[in-house]
Amino acid sequence: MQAHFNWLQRFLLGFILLLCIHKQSVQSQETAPNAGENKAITWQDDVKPFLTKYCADCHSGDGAEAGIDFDKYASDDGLQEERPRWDQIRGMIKIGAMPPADYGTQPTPEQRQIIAGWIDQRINTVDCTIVHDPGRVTMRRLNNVEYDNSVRDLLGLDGFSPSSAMGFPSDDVGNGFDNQGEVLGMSQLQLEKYLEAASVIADRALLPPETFERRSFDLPPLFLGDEQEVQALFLEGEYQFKARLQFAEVENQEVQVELLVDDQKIDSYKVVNKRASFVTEHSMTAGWHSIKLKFASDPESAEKSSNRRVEIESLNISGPPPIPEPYSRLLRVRPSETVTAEQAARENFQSIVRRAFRREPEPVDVERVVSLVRIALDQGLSFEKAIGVGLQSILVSPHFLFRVEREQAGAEMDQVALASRLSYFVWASIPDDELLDLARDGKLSDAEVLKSQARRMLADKKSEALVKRFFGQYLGLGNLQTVSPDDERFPIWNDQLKEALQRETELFCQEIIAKDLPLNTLLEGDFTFVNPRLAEFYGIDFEGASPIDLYRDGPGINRLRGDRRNGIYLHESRWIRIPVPANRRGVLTHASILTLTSNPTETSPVKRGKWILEAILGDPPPPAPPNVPKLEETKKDNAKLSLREQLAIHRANPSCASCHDVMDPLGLGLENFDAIGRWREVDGEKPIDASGVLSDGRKFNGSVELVGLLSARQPEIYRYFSEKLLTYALGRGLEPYDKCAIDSVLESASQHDYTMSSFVVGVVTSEPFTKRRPETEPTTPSSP
Amino acid sequence: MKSPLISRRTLLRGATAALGLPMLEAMLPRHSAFAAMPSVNRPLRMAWVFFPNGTNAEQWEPKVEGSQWELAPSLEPLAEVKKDITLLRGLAQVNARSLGDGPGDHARSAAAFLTGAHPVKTSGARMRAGKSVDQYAAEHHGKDTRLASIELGTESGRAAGSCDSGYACAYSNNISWRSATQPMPKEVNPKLAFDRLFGSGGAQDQRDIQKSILDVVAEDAKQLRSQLGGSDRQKLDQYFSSVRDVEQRIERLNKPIELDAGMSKPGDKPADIAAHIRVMYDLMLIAFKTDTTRIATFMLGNEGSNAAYPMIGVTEGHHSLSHHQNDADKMTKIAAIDKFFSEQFAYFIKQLRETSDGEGCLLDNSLIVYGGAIRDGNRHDHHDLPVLMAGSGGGLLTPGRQYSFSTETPLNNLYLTMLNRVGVNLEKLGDSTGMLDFS
Repeated sequence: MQAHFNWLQRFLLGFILLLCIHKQSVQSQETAPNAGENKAITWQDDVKPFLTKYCADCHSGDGAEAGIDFDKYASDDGLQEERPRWDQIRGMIKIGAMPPADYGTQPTPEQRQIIAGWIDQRINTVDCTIVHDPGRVTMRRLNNVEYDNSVRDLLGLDGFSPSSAMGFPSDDVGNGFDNQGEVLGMSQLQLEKYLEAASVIADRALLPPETFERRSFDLPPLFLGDEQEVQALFLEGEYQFKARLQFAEVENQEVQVELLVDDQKIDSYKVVNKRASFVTEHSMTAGWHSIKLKFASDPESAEKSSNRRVEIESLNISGPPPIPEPYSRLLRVRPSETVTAEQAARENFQSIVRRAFRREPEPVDVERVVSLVRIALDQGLSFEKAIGVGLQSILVSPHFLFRVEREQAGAEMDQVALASRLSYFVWASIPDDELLDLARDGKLSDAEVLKSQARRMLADKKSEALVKRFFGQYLGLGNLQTVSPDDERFPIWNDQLKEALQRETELFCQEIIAKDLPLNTLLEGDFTFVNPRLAEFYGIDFEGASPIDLYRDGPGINRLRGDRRNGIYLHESRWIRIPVPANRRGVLTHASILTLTSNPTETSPVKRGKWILEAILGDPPPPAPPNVPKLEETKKDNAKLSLREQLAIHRANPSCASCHDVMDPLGLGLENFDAIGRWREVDGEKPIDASGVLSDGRKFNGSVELVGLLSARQPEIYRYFSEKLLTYALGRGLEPYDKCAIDSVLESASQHDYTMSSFVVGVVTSEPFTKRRPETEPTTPSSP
Repeated sequence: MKSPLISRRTLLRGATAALGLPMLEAMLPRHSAFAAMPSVNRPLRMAWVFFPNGTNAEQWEPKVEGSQWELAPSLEPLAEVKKDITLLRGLAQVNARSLGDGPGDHARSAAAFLTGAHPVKTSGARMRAGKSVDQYAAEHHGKDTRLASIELGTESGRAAGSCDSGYACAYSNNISWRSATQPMPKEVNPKLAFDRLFGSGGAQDQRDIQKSILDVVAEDAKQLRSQLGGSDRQKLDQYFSSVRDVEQRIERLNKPIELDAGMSKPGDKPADIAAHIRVMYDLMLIAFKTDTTRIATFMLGNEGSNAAYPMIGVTEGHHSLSHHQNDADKMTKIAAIDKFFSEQFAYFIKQLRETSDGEGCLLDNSLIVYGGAIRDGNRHDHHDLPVLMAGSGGGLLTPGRQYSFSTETPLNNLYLTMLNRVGVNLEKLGDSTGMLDFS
């Protein structure tokens, strides 16, 4: 992207300076052709001669090395079309990897930067006053998460993931995300799974209501202060709650358990060490309600202990049979003397099809489904079963499985397609009725409406999808699942800790969305979230209690064996917001990120530095040039030195230095965090030195100062973030012309203090999001 | 109405017994039981087993003297079946090379392994490799079986980030491509693979309903097609072909499959990788034996896989180790992984040999290619590939030999030869230049 060029220039200035100081011997070979002059660089006068002089020996004619033949480029006309290749050439020239160190004549560092800079300009620059191309997104299949969420919101089936229950193949990742149209394929295996899932989902959605008349719940024991919750669906009417409880201690004492409906205390039970039933009648309103049992007080002890607990043998709820939401949604109309089964099916499917296909249904859409219902009825299936068959066909239809954006005459998009773009961007799910109504009434072409919808959607709980799917992939959190820190060195590491680390980062990002904080909170946030496990990990108290005590008092018998914490803490699932622990600041100091950028046994300053460049600043270093000694070799020869010293030796090699000068200081600034992100003052016996100099000359000491310096590079960080957000929102890779849209996102975000919502609003009102390039070329013959 | 197939019922009966590998082994047929089978022309079975990250070539490539050859240490486990295997030397997959596209040898290797095509370097847009040999075979040779082909693996795709230097992950994660733009995802869960291969697909009326559903959605798709532009149509065409494939599959579910009584379904993905590999081999074996499918591909890891193999003392990642920079310790570990893979392959080959098929054994009527498209993981070279083949292919060749082909003979020449054997006569497949001579 052109974007990188701006900061590149800045960074290169510092970089060239460094090179000038350290590598005078190299520079003395030749002076740059244009040094100190203002003459514009051209292909004919500068670039081509450069390539001929330094590269053509190997890279020309038949048998050109690596298939790169500079003879082919008489002019610079086709360079933009071969952007990946030229970007690679640019990188090789820029970092000094080519020509190889043993090649006779070498260009000066200045020449390298000038030529690399010209190539960058040439392949990445777009004139936004001339170019208006919203791009074209390829029709996207719903990925597994989108499929699950769509089914959930279509039918009200909570807590069920068909994709994992049926073992859908994993979605391939492209451009860093798993929602990219070009990459999401369809195959026989995939369709088989959809077909099977449809039948399972239909069965589940159409469970007859009688099943719910008396509901019984098994719940784990209660400890002092704890509560157990069930969520249940009710009709309006009188219900009976019956709890069978027992205080599990031998003493003849009485403890108090409360019944709460939607957190309101309804009744209070005196529980003794003999099992007894407690019955409460209560009148409920229709809808979902939370029912809780709470161990409220214990005369003996203010502390909870694993012995003093209340066993819940059962909790029963009985009353008018509730009609489960999916069921009522599917069967609003039932056959009667005046309504035939077919008519009833037609009525019912009208709204289902609208939500499932995410547009106003056409008569043929509904008729196809009804024709299936008819076949099923003819085969003797019940009305419910026949509706289920119709539902299956909807769940396998291309209108449901693909995000269809119908071809329009102009670039302006079909509004229903826009509604889906919005909902799949923010919720990873189907649009709700409000969005569909707005699309139907043609209101989504109004930018103000789009903006207010985006804000409304962000405030909805469903925007959690943006945290898990967007932030998770932007930060690479998914890779946490594949790390395996060495068990001997890090006995504290286990799956619960891994989950907790991931959860911390998710909650942190969630807070940025929920409170609509400025994006620099990501790097500079002075708060974080912990549960008892993480509190111990970070060495702080949890709500005034010592986490170790919470561990001892957790369910089951938790003996402390060194660092191992394989049991469960009391309040393990309670998360609280806290001021950030000492020496930490923002996501770069989250243990999740620090762990996924480490090796199993030790930290990797190189990986950490690379991650910051790649994931935050958006300027990944090129792969190590071939034939340079690996860090491991330096390490082997210098085993007694600290990692910092080993890296310094490695950087002494000029072909390594160009990249490692940039990467290493970043990572070394985080050396106070071990390979699973815990604070440390020493590494083995060597004290940690976390000071350094960035490639632009600015000095820092320790993680907090480093983060401060990095977060001052907001323009790059915001630009890269916008690029990733747009890539995720569109489901396609960005092209040079998208730079104009990124400019506009940044422009509008700048007017709103770069709050999270201002980026989202910027994206949803951008041209590539609201428009689509109409198909101009004749349809290409498709492959079978 | 109940399904006419015996499978589900049989399975349920056996389900109380231990799950997984031991039972699968137990249900394998004994020679004697089949000795009286009428002699029929048994179909040829073909499989391609792929391993990632290349090899420690020094420990993999055979010592050859005249017509005598010796298995190198990494192939030692194959000693028992040496006379059943053919070592193919000098073959290359040149389209796995950079050819100006820079780094990304892993992605390219998986994508080129069965296609001989040079994959388009992209992290998303315009993804394209080539149609793979197994899919050519499946289209023709697989049309009479329940499943035209089965794609198996041990690793699902990556959860985040990029897989290899600017290549979409689909390249690294798949070797089977139904068309140049449509990779065939693989099944990694043994239980689900079993259901897919041998499940009854429900009762007849359930299947009738599924067919009606497919009719309806095919209508949806047909109508939708006219409203779409070119790139979208290509996606929809994938949907169309998938609908056709599933329809055929439902038709073919009527073909009865005789699974041995007492056999039980394997469980979900085993934690132990050796058990996982073996249960997948078991499934291939049973699928071949019952003629459920004749074409299979199996990935022993995604290309570039960084799996550890703690059971053989390798706790570091496979890919990290493969860049060993000639470090002796790392090279030893790579050889250990290579050997571990050969052990599992030897297990499969022995089973094929011990399973009767017509008048001979299953191995006689099989061609099982085993290899990868990187020779040495440290160098990322794509010539002199580690490739061998088990079985005699119903008389195509006499195994037990090693062939040295002239340098950089396309690996696809082998595939062209194999396709010819099952009546698929292509002029050219990927970069093939002709057929191999096994005389």
